[in-house]
Amino acid sequence: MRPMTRRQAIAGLGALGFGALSLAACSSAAPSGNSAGNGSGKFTILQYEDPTTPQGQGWRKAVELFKAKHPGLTVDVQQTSFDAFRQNAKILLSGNDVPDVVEFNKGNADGGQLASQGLLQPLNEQVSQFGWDKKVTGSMAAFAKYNDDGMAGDGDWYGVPNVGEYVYFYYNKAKFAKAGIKDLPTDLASFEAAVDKLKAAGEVPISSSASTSQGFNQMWVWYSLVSAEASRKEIDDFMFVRDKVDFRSGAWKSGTERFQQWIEKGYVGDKLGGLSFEQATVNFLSEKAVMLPWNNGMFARIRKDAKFDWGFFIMPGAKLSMGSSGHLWGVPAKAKNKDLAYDWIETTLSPEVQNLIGQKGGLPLAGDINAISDPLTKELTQKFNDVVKADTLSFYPDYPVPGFLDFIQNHMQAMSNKNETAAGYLDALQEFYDKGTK
Amino acid sequence: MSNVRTLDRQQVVTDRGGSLQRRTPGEWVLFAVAIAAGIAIFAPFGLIILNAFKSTQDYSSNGPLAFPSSFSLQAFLDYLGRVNYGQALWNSIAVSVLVAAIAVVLSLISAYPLGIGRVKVSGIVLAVLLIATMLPHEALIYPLFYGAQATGTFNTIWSVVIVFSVLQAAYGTYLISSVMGAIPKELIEAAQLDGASRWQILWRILVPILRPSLSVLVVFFFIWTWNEFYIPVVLLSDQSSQTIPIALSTLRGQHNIDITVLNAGSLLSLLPTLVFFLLFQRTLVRGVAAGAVK
Repeated sequence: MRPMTRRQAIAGLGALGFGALSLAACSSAAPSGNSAGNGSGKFTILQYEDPTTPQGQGWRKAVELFKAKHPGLTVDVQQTSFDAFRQNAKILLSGNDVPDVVEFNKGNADGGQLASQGLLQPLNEQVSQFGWDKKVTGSMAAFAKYNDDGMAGDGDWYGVPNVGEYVYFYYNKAKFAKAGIKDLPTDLASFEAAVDKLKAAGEVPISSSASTSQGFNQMWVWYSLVSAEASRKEIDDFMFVRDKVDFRSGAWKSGTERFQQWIEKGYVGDKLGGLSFEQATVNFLSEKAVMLPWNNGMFARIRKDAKFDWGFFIMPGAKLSMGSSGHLWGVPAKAKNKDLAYDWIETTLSPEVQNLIGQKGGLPLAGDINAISDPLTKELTQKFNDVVKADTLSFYPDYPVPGFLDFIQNHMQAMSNKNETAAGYLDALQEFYDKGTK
Repeated sequence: MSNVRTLDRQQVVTDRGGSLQRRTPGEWVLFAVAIAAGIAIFAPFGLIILNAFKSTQDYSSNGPLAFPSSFSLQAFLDYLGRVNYGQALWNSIAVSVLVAAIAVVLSLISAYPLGIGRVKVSGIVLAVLLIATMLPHEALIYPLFYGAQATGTFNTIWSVVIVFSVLQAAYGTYLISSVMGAIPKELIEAAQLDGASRWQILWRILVPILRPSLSVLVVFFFIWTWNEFYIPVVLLSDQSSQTIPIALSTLRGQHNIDITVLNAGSLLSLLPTLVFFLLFQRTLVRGVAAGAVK
């Protein structure tokens, strides 16, 4: 009996293999036929937004509008992931058969390198022609421009963002009331007083995480504390690699020392080394912690999943706070349908698309806030518009140097486990930053 | 030969059955360790199953370890809505089956001169093949990418099929040639005396002896190829040619993950390999044992 089954199995596998061979031959014929005629009939968009997010929904609308504008055109929207694009952008864009328009990651390590290696098309002409610089201004335009060395902040336009994002605290209103906090804190001192009250009431005040993989909350708490006391110049010098940054002085020193105190006082909970941001979010939503530092990417989820009354506030009394533009649309240097690509970018910045993104809570850069009817979404958008207008966004700390994210995450984990002091971290930071920006 | 072996095994089975009633303490300890190991191995799958059938609200309020408060298929519907599962499944099956079949035949043919024939530099050849399997894929990706473009196979499953057939066959050649080296030379000499050609020796003598090892390789190649991520993600950027692991990865955002959808997707992606494994489990175990005896 046994030899029979074995033989059958192998024969079956062979048959399956043959079937796969012949069928795959049929299925692969179609796409290769299409790509041959890429110059005219087909327009390829490569992006990695989740189609259920506000931006994703806005872009679906944009595809509809774009198709209506170009009836004969086949529009192929390809979905990839943030990490996959981050790893493969250079290879992909240096090939012969590149997409016509791509979404790419902002920052010197990503967009900067693509720009400086000539893989992306400079967009200065189109920016002034379409007036994109009127819609995307100030700090929102900072990571759209890169110089010859791939450093952000000045130089040519290479990308155009659609939306913005900012970091704030989500908080549990019931737990605030229970701990006797009547008014929202207005400065760092009153914020720490409120946190002490929560601590006294037996709560974990801040839900955080410091796993080297995806445990970003601690990094955001740390950088928020630095930003809170930093001047615009301190942050811009660091971010755009201008004047020399001395991490052992000013906001860098005081912010990082305060961060160490927060860890020691138990403000952020303990055993963070193994937690990811997803687990920190669940700890907040399951009411194991009172506040969650995160950005508006979690707004819809918290709205849907929270079973308690909640609100949000930016770090009280902060001079600057975290946030930046979203990722960028860019046109590969080897793209075959560049004019269509410009038209696509223009379509995503059109009022129809931007207002739809706004209504879904996606913080559009060129939307009309009065088009938003939902009060909470309007509040979210208003606070964002305020910080953009006041020019107080400090971006994300990992932008300036390639490989910075892993470096910071490792040290965040060490500090959270109390294996490293603020001074030790700042020394390492100075060395890494100086080496990386030489 | 195989009849004798079957008898032996039955003997062993009844022996073990007999000792069921009176186990020694040592056996109980082993038994407990085996159960603990089983639970540890099952735990991640258990977690996936547990969370795939939850609503996101349920997951968010009660965490990943709680039992679902209500049974929900929403995560599966969301997954199927966002990913072209049928297409990805088909691509994965086509790639894995083709690679398994091609790589095994390739390994067998290239191992024949190295293991049985007298190639002077066979040691060096095997070392080179081993190095090929040990090289990180990141080091190979640029040549593979340009190769795929030059041959027009970029963005089609053929690029991946060719690459992995060769990579897996490098390992297979190494393995099979060393198994061949252990086959008594007398057997082949006897066949030669009987007037068998080289071709006949390979198919009539060696393949039947090697069959257990070959079937293990088929299973390994299938599963390894199924799980490959890095090379396919570069070579298959078009959705119509993506394999299951790549489709799954598109669910992860930079600052947001939909855990229940990810779990549902993982479960659906895991099922085919599980089915495959169950079907070929015996082949697998037998092949490993056969290799060990030799």
